[in-house]
Amino acid sequence: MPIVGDGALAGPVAHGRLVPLLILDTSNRPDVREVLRVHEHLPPGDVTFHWAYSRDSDDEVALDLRFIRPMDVKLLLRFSIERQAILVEAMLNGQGVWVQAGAPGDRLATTMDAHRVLVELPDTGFQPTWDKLWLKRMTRVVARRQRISRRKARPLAKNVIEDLRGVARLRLKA
Amino acid sequence: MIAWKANVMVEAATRSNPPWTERASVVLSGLAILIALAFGLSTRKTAKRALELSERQEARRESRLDVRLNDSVAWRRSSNGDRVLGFNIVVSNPSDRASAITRVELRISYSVDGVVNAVKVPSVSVGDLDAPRPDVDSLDPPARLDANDAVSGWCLFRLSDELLGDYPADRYEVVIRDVHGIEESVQVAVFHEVSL
Repeated sequence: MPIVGDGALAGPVAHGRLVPLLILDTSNRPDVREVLRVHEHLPPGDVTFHWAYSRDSDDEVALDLRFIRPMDVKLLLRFSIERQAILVEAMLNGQGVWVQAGAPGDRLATTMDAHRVLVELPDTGFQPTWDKLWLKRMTRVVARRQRISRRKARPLAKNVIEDLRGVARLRLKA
Repeated sequence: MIAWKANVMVEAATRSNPPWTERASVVLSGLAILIALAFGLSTRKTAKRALELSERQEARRESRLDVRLNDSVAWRRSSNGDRVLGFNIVVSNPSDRASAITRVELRISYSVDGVVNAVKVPSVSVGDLDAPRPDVDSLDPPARLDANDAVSGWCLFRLSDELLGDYPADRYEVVIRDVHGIEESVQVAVFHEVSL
């Protein structure tokens, strides 16, 4: 499921925590567009989810979402650890994600009035696995970009992660 | 020599003509086998009947729901811009195990760009509806359903005009779920349209 835009919202919904927003390209998935649309006219629905990571690539984690109510719809959201780690971190910290239907070119700033659905993602124990995956990938990325050994890159990667984590864990006072 | 010859002759005579006790014992053994066989067959039949009875009892303990539709009405509420769909339903529990209705929902199937979608609309209590509301008794979950018992009432669903938009509904299905996870449904094709 292509993610064409992202952002974050903070407010009273998650006790001031930053909750990321994903704009999905639903051009080829009318079922996803519909589940997000009908949500507006019905009481809160049910969803199950799993976090997953790839055995073949060290740059990918995925969120496997299954809407049960108001409609039975499955979607797999894939995230590059190198480029989208902050989204994953914010989802784990905020314990939720806003999902919005859209098309390539859509941005949060230009679609503020669009309908969006908050999917709750309670803690499933994925955080320690995520921390390892993130550090491993960032160490490799820093080593490649700085052309240094991984042993030297590891503390630098930790610093980068701490900085990103600080942004992802921003919290507004209620 | 003579004595030995005589012994041999007696033995030969015994072999050719067995005494009546030996014949009787053979007959008795045969009878005993026949009686044992008949008794075994009878026991097998009894055991089979007992097993069937036990299986029937077990089947009656398994959760089951029967759903029957009596009536279906669509109340048009032009002042609220929605419709209230009502289905008068009888839910029976033919099993020997008490149950309870935990969820009542309406599944509406419709197509968008050739993809069939099914939206699940939860039921509402008549008391939760704003005026004007239909004058019926709603069947609201959770509702107790004793063993070999039945309940009836109106399952109500509020449908805003925007829910399906311009997409026509292909199918309506009322789904009842009980506390044991059993789901039964009934399809509805015809509504009496009533204005409120």
